[in-house]
Amino acid sequence: MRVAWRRARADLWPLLVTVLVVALTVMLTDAVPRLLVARADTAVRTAVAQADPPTDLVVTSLYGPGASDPTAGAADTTGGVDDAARRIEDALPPSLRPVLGPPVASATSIDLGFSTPGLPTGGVLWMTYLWAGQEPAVRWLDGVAPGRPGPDGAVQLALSDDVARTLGVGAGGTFQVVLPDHTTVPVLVTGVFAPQDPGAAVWAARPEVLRPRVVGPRSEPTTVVGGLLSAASLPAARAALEPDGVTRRFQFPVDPGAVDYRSSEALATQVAALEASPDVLLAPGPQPTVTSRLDLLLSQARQHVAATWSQAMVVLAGLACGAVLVLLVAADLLARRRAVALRTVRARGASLAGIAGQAGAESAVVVGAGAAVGLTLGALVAPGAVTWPWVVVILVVGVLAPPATAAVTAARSEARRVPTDRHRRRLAQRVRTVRRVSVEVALLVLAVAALAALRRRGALSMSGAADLALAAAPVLVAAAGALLMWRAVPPLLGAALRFARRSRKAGPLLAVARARSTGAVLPFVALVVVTTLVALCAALAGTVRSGQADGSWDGVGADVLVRTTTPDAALQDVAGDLAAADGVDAVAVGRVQDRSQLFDVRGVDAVRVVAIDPVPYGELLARTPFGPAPALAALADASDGATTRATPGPLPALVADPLLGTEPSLRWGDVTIDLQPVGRVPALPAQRTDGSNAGPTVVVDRAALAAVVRAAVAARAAKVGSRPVGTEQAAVDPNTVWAVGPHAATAARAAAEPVGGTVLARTRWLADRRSDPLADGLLTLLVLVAAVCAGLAVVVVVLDAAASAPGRARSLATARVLGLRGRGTARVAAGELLPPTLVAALGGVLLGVLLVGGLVAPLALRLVTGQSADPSVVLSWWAVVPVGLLTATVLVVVAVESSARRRERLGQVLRVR
Amino acid sequence: MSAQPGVEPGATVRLRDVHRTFGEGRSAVHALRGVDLDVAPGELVAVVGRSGSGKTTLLNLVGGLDRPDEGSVRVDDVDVAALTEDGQALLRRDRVAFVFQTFGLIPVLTAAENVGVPLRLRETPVAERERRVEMLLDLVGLAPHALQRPDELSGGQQQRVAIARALAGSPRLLVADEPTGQLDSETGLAVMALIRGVVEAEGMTALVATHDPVMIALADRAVRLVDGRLVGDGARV
Repeated sequence: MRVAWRRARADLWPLLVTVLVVALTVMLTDAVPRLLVARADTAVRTAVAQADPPTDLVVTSLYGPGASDPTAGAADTTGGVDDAARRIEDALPPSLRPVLGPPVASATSIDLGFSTPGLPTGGVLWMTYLWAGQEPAVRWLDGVAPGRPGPDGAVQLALSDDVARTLGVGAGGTFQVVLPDHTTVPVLVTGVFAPQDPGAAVWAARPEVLRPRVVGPRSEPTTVVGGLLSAASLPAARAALEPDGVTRRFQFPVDPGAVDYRSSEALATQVAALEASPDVLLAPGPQPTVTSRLDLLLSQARQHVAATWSQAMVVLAGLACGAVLVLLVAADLLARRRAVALRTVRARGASLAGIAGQAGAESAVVVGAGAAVGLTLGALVAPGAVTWPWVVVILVVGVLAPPATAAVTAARSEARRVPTDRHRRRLAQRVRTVRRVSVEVALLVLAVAALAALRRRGALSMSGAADLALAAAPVLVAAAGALLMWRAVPPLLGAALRFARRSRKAGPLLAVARARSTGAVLPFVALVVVTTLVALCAALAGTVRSGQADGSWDGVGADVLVRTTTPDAALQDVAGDLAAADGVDAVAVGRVQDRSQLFDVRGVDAVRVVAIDPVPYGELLARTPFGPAPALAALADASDGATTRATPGPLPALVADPLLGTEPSLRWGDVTIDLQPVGRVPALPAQRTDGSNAGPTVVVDRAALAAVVRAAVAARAAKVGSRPVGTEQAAVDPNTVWAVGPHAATAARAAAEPVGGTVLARTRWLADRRSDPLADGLLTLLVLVAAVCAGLAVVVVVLDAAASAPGRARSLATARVLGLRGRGTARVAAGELLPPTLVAALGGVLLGVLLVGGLVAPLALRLVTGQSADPSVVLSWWAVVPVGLLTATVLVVVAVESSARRRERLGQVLRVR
Repeated sequence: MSAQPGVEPGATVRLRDVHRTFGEGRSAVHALRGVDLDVAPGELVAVVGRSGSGKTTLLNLVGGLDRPDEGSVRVDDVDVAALTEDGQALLRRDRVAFVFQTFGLIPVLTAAENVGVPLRLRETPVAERERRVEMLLDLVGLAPHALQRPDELSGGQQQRVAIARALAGSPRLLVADEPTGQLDSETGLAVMALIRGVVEAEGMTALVATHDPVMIALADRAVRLVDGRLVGDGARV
């Protein structure tokens, strides 16, 4: 015991380095997966909470024709709406119940035209019945709640004070509403109310009941208002609006706090199943439907989490493998330092098993201490069950490497006897060469196979411990690359040696000769691997950050974007206001229509149609990273004739490459129009509003599209001898305004207010993306692992220098006796240590960058950057930090050794062989 | 030669009242206690004494590998102890050569490269260096082994390489510490004869620490160290 302690004390610093390496890597490999799970939960909850539109589960149901009875009382409403909501809630699958809040039910009329003294130009009225456990609590300012129809047969309705003021109608007032078939229904306003709680969830189902909303262009504004029905008045409204003029909606809000990553897959599946089979909810009426964005949103969030998880696993695998290599180097150093003692013990009759056992006991204590520290820190950082896979690998290697190297060192005194027979000597040499080459080829094949599998399968397919090899693919490639580089070092040093031999000076010869004879493959490989990881992390981080910036253009398409959920001609006014505002350089307005059907000879494709005014849109694009788009000018020229067309004809369009030279046609609303490809689609924002890839895009002139659609509708009407009806009115109303300029975002917020459009600023998009828990966590992890790997690289350099220090000290002492001066010895030491270190560091940086280039797609970085396509590799400046850091480390080592040399007596050094 | 210590004017080596102690307190070892010694130019002096008597310490002080605690060590009238570290290095490079019991060759260099190191330290032109290395290896009978590394040579061959290296810089003083200590008697004899021969041939002064009676017999004179003190009159012992 005492001997073991004495031995450990003599080699204290390598043992402490082992403790430190084990503690750090165990902490990270243990805690990071738990932190990721926590971040994944946050990411899923944030995605649900910030979803716009919300992810509520909505059950929609009609009553069915002829199911109304104007004389029915409140009981009819209670049964058809209130109780139906309760039934649906009871029928929800158990896994969904904790996630969904209590339902808000509504029964709402179709759009009803009206005109009142306050709104002589008319507007749109929705009559709605609301229920959220009970009818909404209101305070009657005038009149009473609506009831059954009186003798006049009018539908009784209540109005909020705002709506009543807008309409210029008070309690007791009447007006007519107009149905789409131009029949009229009398309405009696029985009361005017104020909500007791305007923020109550029930009002969110139909906010127009409390606040009128104005839509459409300023020249032709349309006011949309809501009127409140009661349980007693709903049956009469239903009867007046037969057939099927009232739709029931049961809206279940999603509680973001109740959603977590673990349950998200089951939730998405359950929601999708309900959408496919709404009957299981026992919703009343014919053909109820279930809709929710929850399944899509959860799937996207899960994909995002899976990508981040895979990226983190790759980085952690690299860290674990790097740590394993460092532990092997430390074990080798320990064995070298103890070589004399080990051989002596062996010569005195100790068995190799005994020697290994003693070393194993020591390493178990050392690694155990490191693991205890690492696991404790890991538990403090992220409490939870230990993440074993990489921890076990580190512990096993940490415990077993020292006894293995000790046994090999002890045995080497016998095994290394060189046969006197030349043939046997050559044979032994060949056996060693074959063994070495076999190991290297095996590693190379394994690395190539792992990388090929990773590229083929993609990191998203990584699911657990079974995919450790897949996650370790980059580090395997780094190790294989390091071995290849190692094979290139001897010829390089050989060339340097030839040069040094021709020199007059002693320093270069001593330095290169020592570098050539003392280099060891394991530290070199370890150094390359950890340096590769630093460069990999740096390049990943740089790529992610740069990709996020690119993604912001991809997602927004300009400095700011104003969007409405439905096309709204008022956006033209928004664009006008924006164009007039200070600090706005360019504005474009357009209609972006996702998932339109495109027919060509190959079949049907879902495409995004971007209908814009080509000239202003081209000017806008020219001020963005998308750059000038000459194709838009060509489109404008080609569309000139189409804008005034009165007869059907082809619509000039910019299309994707495969469609050039074809004659595709496009389904727009309820008409089909022929397209005339006139050029290739330029670089455009490639995302849908929900962040998914927009896919193939067709760009057309908005005015030309309107003219062609009008002509097509007119032609169809002429053919069947009817009035033109259909999509001609709102066919090309815009739904998007883009603007660029330093103050575009501020101006857009003011301009968009009247239309209630969503304003999306690129800076906001970028800030949101960068503060996203997963992206932020990944970047933090990359920086952390890069820092730890840089530390490991320093450790490797120090360990390697320590291993070769005795030989170097002896050679330099001899040279000093012969007259080499102090500064000269430092130069020789630096010349010995620096070249292999620099080759390894530069090689590692190069490998890291190449690896990132090959891993951008399989690691699905686009999901982190928010881009539609894979990001371009961008190298952070700190990718090359290892080169400087390791150079500095070598210089410090040389300085420390020089200082130690000054204290030694040369005569004594040379007395001991 | 029969030079008397301390009386030869212009002596190459002069030690006066040299003390050297290692360690402190009770564990202090007094390696040299007031040594006076003069070595005339061209003289080969054998330093004899039992292990631990201070032979190596004496040679280290003369060669500028160590500094005395008291007294003065002068080589060619240069006060070795007063030199800076770099000054001592220059002294070793230009005037003093060493031959060690453990040979002191640089294992990563070939025999020829080892011999060439002192010349490289003086930045001797390459052609001149190569000529001299070849001549010296030929002198010590190792020309065929010029490209072999020390671990590929026998002990005697290594010591001959060390001697060739010592001669490479044409030193004025050769310091040899038990040069035959690790050699068999036959090889040792050959090495001793070589040292005697080159000292005569090059006209250099030599201080050789040895136990070997043959070496002592080959020396011009021998001085004995006992517990760090020179004993006797410095004549042949």
